[in-house]
Amino acid sequence: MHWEYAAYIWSSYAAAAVILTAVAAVSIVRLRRALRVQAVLEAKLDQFRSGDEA
Amino acid sequence: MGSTATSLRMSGWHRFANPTRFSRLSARILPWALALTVVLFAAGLYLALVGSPPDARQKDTVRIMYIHVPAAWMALATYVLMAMFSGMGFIWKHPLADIAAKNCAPLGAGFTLLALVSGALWGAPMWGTWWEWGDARLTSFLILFFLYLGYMALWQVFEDPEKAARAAAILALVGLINIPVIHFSVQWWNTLHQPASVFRRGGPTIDPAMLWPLFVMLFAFKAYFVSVLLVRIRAEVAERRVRALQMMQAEA
Repeated sequence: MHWEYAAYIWSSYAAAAVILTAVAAVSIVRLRRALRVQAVLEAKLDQFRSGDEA
Repeated sequence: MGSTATSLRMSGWHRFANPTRFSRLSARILPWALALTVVLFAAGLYLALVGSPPDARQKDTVRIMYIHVPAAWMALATYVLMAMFSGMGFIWKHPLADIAAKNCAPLGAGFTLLALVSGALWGAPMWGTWWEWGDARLTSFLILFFLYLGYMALWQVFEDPEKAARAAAILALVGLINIPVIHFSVQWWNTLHQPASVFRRGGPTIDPAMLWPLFVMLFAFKAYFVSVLLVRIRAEVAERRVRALQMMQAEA
């Protein structure tokens, strides 16, 4: 690889890594948080319903 | 009559428009899509950085192509898909179509930003400039980036998701006009940017030694897009379910 171009080439691959990883990471964190809150709320609702039936 | 209408509605792709069914199906597909993304990126990066030859004139800077071109193609394809989902949500009022359109936008904005940044990094050594305002391809691509940002901002402006979806859909559909402008800009105007060299009449002008790595990287980007879009749609469906559960708890 020609050394005078290496900075441009590696910078473009680094930009790809940063942008693609950032979008994916934010999406995964958002999904995990939503699923966790959903599970807690559904458990509470089930508890409430079973209490009503009793 | 009612059952016939229901069975018709549930037939074909409409079956997957049910958020619960979609969540179940996407949970099964997601690990495979993620694995495919990792494998394709590993193969693509090896081919792009090691397995492909340097260009006779551009030398090793041609390796920026394996990031820049797939990012640019995906930026355009994502916008067209977002507009299609927006149109489906607008006409058939499918909540899942609106959710899919909404979650295409950050991915499309990411691809567009990457195409702009990698383009500047390629332009600096080859054209002697990072940016040229008079270049139609560059400026129309910047407009695409602003369209994505505007679309995402519109979703945040309205509290009612239905109103937000309608307004955002109109912007997405109007913005479609920019896609042929971007594609044909290199033919309609004199630009620094080179004309189409892959999808053109008469076949690609790129050597197969460079074309194969380019296609492997394109499929890696596609697999990434499918994986992250599935994650984002599942997250949005779960968030809407959370809001519904919170309302039920408040009422109870």
